[in-house]
Amino acid sequence: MSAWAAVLDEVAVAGGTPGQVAARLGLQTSLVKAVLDHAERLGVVAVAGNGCGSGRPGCPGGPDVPPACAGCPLALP
Amino acid sequence: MSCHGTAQNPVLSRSGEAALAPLPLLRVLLVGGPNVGKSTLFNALTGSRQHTTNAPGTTVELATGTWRTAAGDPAGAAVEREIIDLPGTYSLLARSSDEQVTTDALWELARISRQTSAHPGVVVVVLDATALARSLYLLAQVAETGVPIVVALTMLDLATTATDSPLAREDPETLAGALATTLGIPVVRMDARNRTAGGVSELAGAVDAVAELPLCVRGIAPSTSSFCYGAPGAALRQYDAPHDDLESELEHAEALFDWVEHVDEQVNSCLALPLPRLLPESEPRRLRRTFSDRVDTVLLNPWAGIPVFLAVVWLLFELTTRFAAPLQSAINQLVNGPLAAAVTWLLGLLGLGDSWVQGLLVDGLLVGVGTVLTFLPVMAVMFAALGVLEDSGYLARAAFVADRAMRSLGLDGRALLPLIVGFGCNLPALAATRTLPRARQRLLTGMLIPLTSCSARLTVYVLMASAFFPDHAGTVIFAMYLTSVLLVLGGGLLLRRTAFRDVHAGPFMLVLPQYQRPHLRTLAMSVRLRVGSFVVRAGKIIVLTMVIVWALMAVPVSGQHSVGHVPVTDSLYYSVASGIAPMLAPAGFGNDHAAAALMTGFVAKEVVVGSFAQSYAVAEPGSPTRAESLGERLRTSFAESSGGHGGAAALAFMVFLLAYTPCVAALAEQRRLFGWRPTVSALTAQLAGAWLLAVLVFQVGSRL
Repeated sequence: MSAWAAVLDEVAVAGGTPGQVAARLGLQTSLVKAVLDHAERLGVVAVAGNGCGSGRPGCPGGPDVPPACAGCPLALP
Repeated sequence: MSCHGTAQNPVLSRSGEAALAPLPLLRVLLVGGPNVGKSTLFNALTGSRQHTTNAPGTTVELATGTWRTAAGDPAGAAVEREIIDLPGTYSLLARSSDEQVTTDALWELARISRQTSAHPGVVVVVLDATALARSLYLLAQVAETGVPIVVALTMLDLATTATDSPLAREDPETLAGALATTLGIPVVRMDARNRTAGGVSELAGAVDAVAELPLCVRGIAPSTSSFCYGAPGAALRQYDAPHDDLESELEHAEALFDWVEHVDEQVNSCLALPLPRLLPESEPRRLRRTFSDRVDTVLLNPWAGIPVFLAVVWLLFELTTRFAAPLQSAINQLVNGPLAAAVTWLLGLLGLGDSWVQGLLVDGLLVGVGTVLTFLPVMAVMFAALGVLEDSGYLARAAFVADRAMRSLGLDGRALLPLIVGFGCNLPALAATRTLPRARQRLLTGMLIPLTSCSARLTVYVLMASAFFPDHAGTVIFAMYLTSVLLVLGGGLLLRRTAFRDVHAGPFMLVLPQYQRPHLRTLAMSVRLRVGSFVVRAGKIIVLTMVIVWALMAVPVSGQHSVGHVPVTDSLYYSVASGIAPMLAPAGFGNDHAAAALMTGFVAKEVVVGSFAQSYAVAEPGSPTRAESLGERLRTSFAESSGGHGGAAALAFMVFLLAYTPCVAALAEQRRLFGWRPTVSALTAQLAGAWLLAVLVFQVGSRL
């Protein structure tokens, strides 16, 4: 599996900071940051502080749940 | 592939010939992520031959300069290149106007390169040795544009302690050689802080050689390129175009990162290092904690980080308002004392003493120049302090800590610093908005900064509060600062729901740079550049305004006095004030004295008290009876204009003074940063808002 796919899978399932994801996967943190940055620019990853991670209401759910919220325990059913 | 290349690989081996050949003025674009040492490199290459300019059609500032190197032989001419320090970005998939400028500049160079057989430019991609993978990803995108590339490898001094990559701990020369071999383009290791042996001449040779004979980055197929792909007209991968086809974008992204991994593996292989591999789930490992990691456990902790941040901001405030004050006073005394006396004496020798020419030069032009000069210490201290915070890596931490609070205004944490600095002086606060990544965020913050109560307004609060509320003066002044905070919050929320609906706090996955010691030379150059820019651009407007104000005060209305020898009450200036006064009547301070003071407050809030004193014809500052007599006269005139509600009128006056307009210097800086239209719009809105607030305060206060 490529680093790109591995990082996205890991974030979708478990989330975490770039450092934590890098540690779990055994990758360089800078590579993980680069992957997440590009994924964020494409809109498939969101960063804590926005949406669910911010603790603000309005977390989307149902069929409109964005890919970034996949696996999030706070996502509405 | 051989693994025994050096940093000066085959291209550089030809660089001797290339450097000797007469080259046209080559355009060199510096591209790299934030905090990779790009600006340090730019300063090292250009020295003092640099200036800032706005990118065409934007408010994004670009540093451009001339990169001059000596000729390869004694008889030859020096080689000059135009070099542009493009805004830092991690990706060409731009999400801010700054990043868009970088993307556009690269595509423009790619377009020009395709249209001509000569190669008009070279891109120097700055790779961060402590975060190679991230830098390689940007390099891959740049390579896809098809522009000639040279790699500058930086941050090698931090590589041994601040990385989770074993690559960066290798000997820099060996690492650069392995990268050059793997990438197929020149890789120059840089230590921009060392001008003699820091790689500057090697970089010049590499750039000139690549300009003559460009090479492709190995493993990257440019969308189109005149020199290595040979497919002009092929579909360009435009990173700034909307990416509708997400599937193909994801596939392309995977290909890019496969290349990054491949390069990493090749370099590891060259250096005989163990190949990186993905760990199975059952085999997690712990990363080595660096010094920065340990410091961050304190500074990024909300309980410790916020107090530290407030302490740092307080120190910044103290530096700006107190440390610079003696210098300001000294400059003011010098300009208005010996310098003014010297000019007066000189004009007397020329037979122009006591004439309108003397008034224009001494009371108009010299006062204007003096105003600009008195701001220099504030600006220099502010820029130096900001530079230290930025260069050390702390500014990024402060922004991270403050992020949550600022999100309610649609801004991220980086906006807090300029707003807090605004309580010292609006002018450097406006300049500090440059730390914000997006132009719309800078504009929104810049519109809110004039609502912060700068220290100059404090002098007026003290006068008014002492005169009208002598037993509660401290509480009134505190309330004014509280009002200022509420105005910033209210103004921010209002603007976000109206003119700035498009502004949202962007995703803020801030990559924190390593802590490092600020470099004094770079810091000094940065301060000099920015202060110089302020003097030249804002200074012109300040001086012109002061001359206009002098002219208005020098022109008599009655005709009973000659130009330049006019009592203030007979001046055109005072007539205008009389015309304005009725508009202020609903707020309770519709008298000529208040209107004239507010007009001079437009020039600088510091002169409001002096204007009151002048118009009431009381003793000059320093007289022990000044405050009392001025206070009495203020109470009398405000009571008259407010129908006996002098206290409410005084409060309304202070609120109006807080909100109506920043000083002319701050307006000039706003215009420089954002343009005429936003500045005039903001000024109009502030005047209207201040009037409404003042009327509200008076109407409510007078009924209590």
